Amino acid sequence: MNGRPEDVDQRDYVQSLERGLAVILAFADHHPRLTLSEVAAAAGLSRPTARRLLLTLEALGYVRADGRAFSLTPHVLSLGYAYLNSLDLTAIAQPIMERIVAQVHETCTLATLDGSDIVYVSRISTRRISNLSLVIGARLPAYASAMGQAVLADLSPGGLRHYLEITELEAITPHTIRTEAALHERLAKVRTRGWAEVDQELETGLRSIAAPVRGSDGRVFAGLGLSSSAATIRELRERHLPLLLEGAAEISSRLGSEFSGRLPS
Amino acid sequence: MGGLAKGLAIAECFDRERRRLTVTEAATMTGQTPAAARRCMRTLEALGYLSYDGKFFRPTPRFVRLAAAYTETDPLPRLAAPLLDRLRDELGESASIAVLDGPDVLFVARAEAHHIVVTGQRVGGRIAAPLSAAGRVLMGAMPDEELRRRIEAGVHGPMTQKALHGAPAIMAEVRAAAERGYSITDEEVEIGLRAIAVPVVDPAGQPVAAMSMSAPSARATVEQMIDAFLPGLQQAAAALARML
Repeated sequence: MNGRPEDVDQRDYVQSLERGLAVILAFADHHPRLTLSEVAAAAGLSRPTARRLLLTLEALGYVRADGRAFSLTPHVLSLGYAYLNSLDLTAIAQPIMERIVAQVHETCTLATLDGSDIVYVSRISTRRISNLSLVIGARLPAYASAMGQAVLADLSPGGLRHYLEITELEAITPHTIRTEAALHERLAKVRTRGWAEVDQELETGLRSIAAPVRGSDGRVFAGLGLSSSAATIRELRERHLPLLLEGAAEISSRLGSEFSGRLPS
Repeated sequence: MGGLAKGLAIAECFDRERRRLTVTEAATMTGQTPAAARRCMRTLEALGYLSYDGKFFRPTPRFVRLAAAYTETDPLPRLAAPLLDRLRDELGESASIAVLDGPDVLFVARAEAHHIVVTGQRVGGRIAAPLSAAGRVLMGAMPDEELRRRIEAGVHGPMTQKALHGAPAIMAEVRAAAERGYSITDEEVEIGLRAIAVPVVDPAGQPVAAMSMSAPSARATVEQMIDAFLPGLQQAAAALARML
């Protein structure tokens, strides 16, 4: 859980809201049922505070109690899906992603930046569409993924500084970028080219390319990526990059963007 | 209402029609004072759930974390997913799981068909329970009084010209659906869309979820839905009931 940002006025801050959301998030990472003590520990709260919040969440329909165990109810989707639905990103992106997958026969993913990770918003594999409910929320370290680099490259200098403060550059494979200087250099390249490529930086044998998707404010907020464990990076680039850039530009423009993904030089 | 309840009520306001809200709008929708709504929205902004451009607040991708906390942990969508995928693959139309959530049915899992025209509700979508095929099978075992109360509270006029009119007609369909084991809405929710639902029952015979398929009217007649979709749906619903 994030600490409270320092620039927010104390009087403007509703602590019980922050803590209640932390309680919901305590169930993430596959804990279907938690006891009061487990919730308190995972959310970093005292037992009486966690108990009060759980009872409030139960009364509001987000949590159900079964003896000593608590679990989340489907009503939680009213919060999460509100976002996906209001953005309509999935509805806009999925037909375009399906078209790409049908032509290139590689898995296509749309992901946005959340803290130091990118989070899957939508994913279409060559074997049918995965069930969205099980895919949304999957996370990867942004600096090691092509989709992540596509988004990081458009951050403001302050935004990138903040990202580096909260992120530890770890060597996931021998090819992973592990210094800030190397990452800055890579992101400069992504900015110039208008797309990103990652060659086994996330997983040995896995290569990806990604194009930026821009919101109505013109800022990149998602990366549209293609991954393959069979193709070389050069094959991915030569065969599939134009389609991917075109798809990302189309999603951007349907989102009401006045901008589109830059074409490769 | 405490700060947590107020903040979550505001988070629920954002949907397809309301992609951005001012403090005043959120306050009106949730029955809060503007000062209270503002504090909640500023807090959600500080936590990264909302962005603010000086006038409008908009949701950010961080809300996906909350949805994932549910979908990663509830056995229902996880166990249903492979069954829905198989139905979709075999029958070529979208398959879903829904549960009752207050006056609505809420869709918690879905396998999406490959078609340009997408039908039905996506995960997190909701429909007034008495108006949907899924809702009608979910209410099948309810006592008369509760059923009537729910229908009267949940229905504010039919959604299309083809929809059943009035509580008595809907009650009769809920009872008939319980008898025959499925319910069909024939362009009742949306013209051009048909849906069929069967209950997933617990060992006591109580419906705990509905499994449904929807298709554009052009691709499936009512008879085709019964002949082609119903056997597979009933089989998958029985398999899910055993796993739960």
